Amino acid sequence: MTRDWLEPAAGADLDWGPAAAAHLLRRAAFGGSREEVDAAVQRGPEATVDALFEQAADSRPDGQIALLLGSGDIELLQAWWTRALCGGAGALRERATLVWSNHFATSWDKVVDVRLMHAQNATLREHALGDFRALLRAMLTDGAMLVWLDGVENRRGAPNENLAREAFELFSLGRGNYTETDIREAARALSGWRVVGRRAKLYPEDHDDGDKHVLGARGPLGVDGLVDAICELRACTRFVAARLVREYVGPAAPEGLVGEVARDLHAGDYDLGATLRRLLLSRGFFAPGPRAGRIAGPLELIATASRSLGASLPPARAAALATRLGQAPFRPPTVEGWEGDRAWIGSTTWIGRRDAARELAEHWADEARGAVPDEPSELFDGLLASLLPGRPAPPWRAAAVRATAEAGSPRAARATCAALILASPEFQLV
Amino acid sequence: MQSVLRSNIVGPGLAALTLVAVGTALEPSRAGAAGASSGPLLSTQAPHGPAPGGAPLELIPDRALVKVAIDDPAGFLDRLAGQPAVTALAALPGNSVQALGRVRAALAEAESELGLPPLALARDLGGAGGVFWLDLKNLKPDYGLVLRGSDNGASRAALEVLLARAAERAGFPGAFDAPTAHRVGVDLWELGDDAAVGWRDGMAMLAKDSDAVLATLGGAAARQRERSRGHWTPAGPTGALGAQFDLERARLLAEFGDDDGLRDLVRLPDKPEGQLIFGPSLSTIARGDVLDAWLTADPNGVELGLASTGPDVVPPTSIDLAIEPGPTDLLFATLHREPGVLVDGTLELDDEASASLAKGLSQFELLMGGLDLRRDVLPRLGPTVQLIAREIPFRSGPAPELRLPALALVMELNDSDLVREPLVAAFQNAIVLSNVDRAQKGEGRPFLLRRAEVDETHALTAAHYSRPAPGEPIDMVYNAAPACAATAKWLILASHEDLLNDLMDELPTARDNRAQPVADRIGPSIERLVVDGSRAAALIEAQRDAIELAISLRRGLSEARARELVDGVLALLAAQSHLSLELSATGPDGLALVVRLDSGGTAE
Repeated sequence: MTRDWLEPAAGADLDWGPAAAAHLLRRAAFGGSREEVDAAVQRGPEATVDALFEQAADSRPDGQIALLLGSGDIELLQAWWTRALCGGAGALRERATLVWSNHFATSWDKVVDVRLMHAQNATLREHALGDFRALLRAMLTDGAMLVWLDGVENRRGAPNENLAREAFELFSLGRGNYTETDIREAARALSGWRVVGRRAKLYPEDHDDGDKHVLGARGPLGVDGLVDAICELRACTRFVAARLVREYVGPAAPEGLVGEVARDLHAGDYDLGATLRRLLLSRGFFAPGPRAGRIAGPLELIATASRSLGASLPPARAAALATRLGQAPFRPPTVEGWEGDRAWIGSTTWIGRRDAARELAEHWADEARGAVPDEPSELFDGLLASLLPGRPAPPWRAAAVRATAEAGSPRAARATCAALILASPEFQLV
Repeated sequence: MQSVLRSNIVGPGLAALTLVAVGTALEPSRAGAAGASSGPLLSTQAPHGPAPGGAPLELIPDRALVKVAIDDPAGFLDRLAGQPAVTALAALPGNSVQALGRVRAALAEAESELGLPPLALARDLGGAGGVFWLDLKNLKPDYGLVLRGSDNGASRAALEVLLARAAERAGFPGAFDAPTAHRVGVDLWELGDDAAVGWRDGMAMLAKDSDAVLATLGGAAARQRERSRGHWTPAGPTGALGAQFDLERARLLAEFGDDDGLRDLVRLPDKPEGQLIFGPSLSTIARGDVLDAWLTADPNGVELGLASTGPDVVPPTSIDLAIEPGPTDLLFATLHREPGVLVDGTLELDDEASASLAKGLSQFELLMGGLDLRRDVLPRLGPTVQLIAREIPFRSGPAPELRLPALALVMELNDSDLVREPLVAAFQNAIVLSNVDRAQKGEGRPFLLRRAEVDETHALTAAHYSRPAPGEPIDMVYNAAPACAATAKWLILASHEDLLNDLMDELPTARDNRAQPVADRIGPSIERLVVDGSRAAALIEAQRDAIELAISLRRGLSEARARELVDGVLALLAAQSHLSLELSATGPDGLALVVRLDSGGTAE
């Protein structure tokens, strides 16, 4: 049966309650505390999404880190962003920034410039909920990206095609939607950019200003002309839509959803925020299949656990944990970014996930006071309601309660109980 | 008053006597108020009246392994706790000073047990002074602790309080209300098989058994020592906490005893790693016959001293200072180290450390164009090493947003013509390799650019990172502009060219041509380390926002907590204008190490 998956979920399609509200918050904004989930239930889905967008309206990053950029220490930058992911305001924008940072994957390992990496992060944050055309244009002239994909070596008469190739294959169209000629012509359009004084700048003497023929467009194209040519193609809307659906709905998304999202993007002239808003309220998003069907990435996992527990690790430590689990902030393994989903899980990383859960739980147990019950079954049920709202008790509840009771001190009981839930498949699948 | 206080006291125990006796510190103002302004806390049947003043040194056995004495414990603690550095340390937030927290907790617990401030009890028991000694008899510990109160009645009452609480805790309330014996003028309490307490004329004593108590408080030997004044006199100024360790006997015990740890400790000075860490002089401090120690606090600061004398003690050789300490130094250190220890194969290192050392030395030889370190280089390096840290004026390059101090190492060269150029060449090669390494890693910028100058007096190479483009932010890496210079007598390595240039100007050119063999120089000096706390504080203050943010990100502290921590560190640095450490000769077979925390006379 063909359904309109992008239509707003309503009625029988939407069992709005703690489970649905938690699903929305986790996918859109790294989850929330029990109070935030309860508030979302009260508000309803539309008002909740409105609130998320409102909180994310300010696209400016926390400017404090400017004080430390001169240190050249990537670990401080990693800690700064991890702190924002784990507890900063505007979680919807942080989540979108993380999504697009993987789409336009750029690694400090080659760039080796903290200022450029920070500037790229700010650019991603600025456009993450805006116009994809502007985002693509900004990325093709971004200092870190130009260094990462050798755009700084692409000059008139001596083209370097790396950036042009990835612009088609990984950023906008996907394989099969362009030719080698398109790549060569696009490289000419992107020529002449260099990074000087830590800023990207077009040097006209190095730019090939001759006529090009790219993707059906003709003329003395530069970056703007190239982006316009790319975005004219339906393949582009479909490519971007696939990214949105993969990140926000997951691998079990209903068939046909990508096409509907692509049409919406096209109709909205690549307004990422408007399309995301519709997606988050759609039947496809709330359909039973995709729910809890995505393996959370390390940063997403740590951020979700931190926000749900209301306790976060020291940012540098949280970033180090994410690195150990296979997702070092600002250091994706390749230009294709992190593969994600099942690739997150391996024999080493699974043990690492359990260790990370334990560390977070220990940290929370040190700070948890008063309102947390000491009685093991009450403690478990309370924590389950906070971390997995609206979920039925898992089959391993009795074993977890027993382990909690045998933990020793109240603090150890809290840590054990929280660690068991955080390490469970139920929590790790978002 | 007496009955009320007695009824409120809930349990000290034997350990409390030790606690108050050793006078664990902090919160002296409270103790001072209780003890000094309101007089003795307790009254007793013993006659009131002043006891003889000062630590009862005459009671300490001549042969004790460890001797400790203090004349005015409460006053000492008052002075110590009044130090701005101690106050600042105590005020540091979080768990930064866990030991201090534990002391406070122990004092609070003791007060809860006793119902009285333990320091007030300490004042009553030992207000006029105290001594402690430790010895071994048949390889078993034998100790004595004697406290002399400044008021007989208060001393007796305080002791009775402690004994009553000890009896309660032992489950025999009232068992020690009266002495178990009275002999040779001494009231005696037997506390079981391992301890006895005595009291006589305002002096309370804790020892292993009653014989020791009677022999000490009623013994003729003590009176003899007192009359002849032949007893031990602590080193250090009046009012200091003094101690003496019989090292000769300790070595014998280590050799024939079964304590491996003590044996290793005693042998450490003879090991190359001991000499590498402590230097050839300081490492012999434990080879003396006796080691005297003192700790004193006065309005200008705190001083810790160690002095050792004996035929095996090696006094420090004098040093021809290349650079004299200056008013802008953040850190100034002069050290004597024998570099030959690094290559003579005597260092006891684990496999990993040995491999690292071998690799480092081999790379250094390569940088020096194949010269043999052992044969060609080390014999020409004198043992004098100076370390100097100063703020960088940034005359020769751009000033970064985040600033670090520059550090320089100055070494003495003997017969420098043979090694001067190879050493500078090694530095040049290191710069080149650093650039190559960066290029191989794809780090396009900035590279180190070199300049060199050579004349008959010196060879100099300096490197600096390429200047940033106009408007480009200046990163912390610009704190580095490494430079190296060698003259006829000195080798200078500096993290910034500005500091190297300043030091070159400060070199005593008159000394350059003097070639005095190091071994011929025996004199009154000197290993020393001076840290200027106020300058370090100013440097931190200038970039405190960045430091607070870094702390917040690394340790997960809130902004407010990070600010508190930085405030605490700044207060600590400001409280001690200088930290100095000085090793000097006290004679042909003696040396003294004095560590001083100078508060600049701001202590209350």
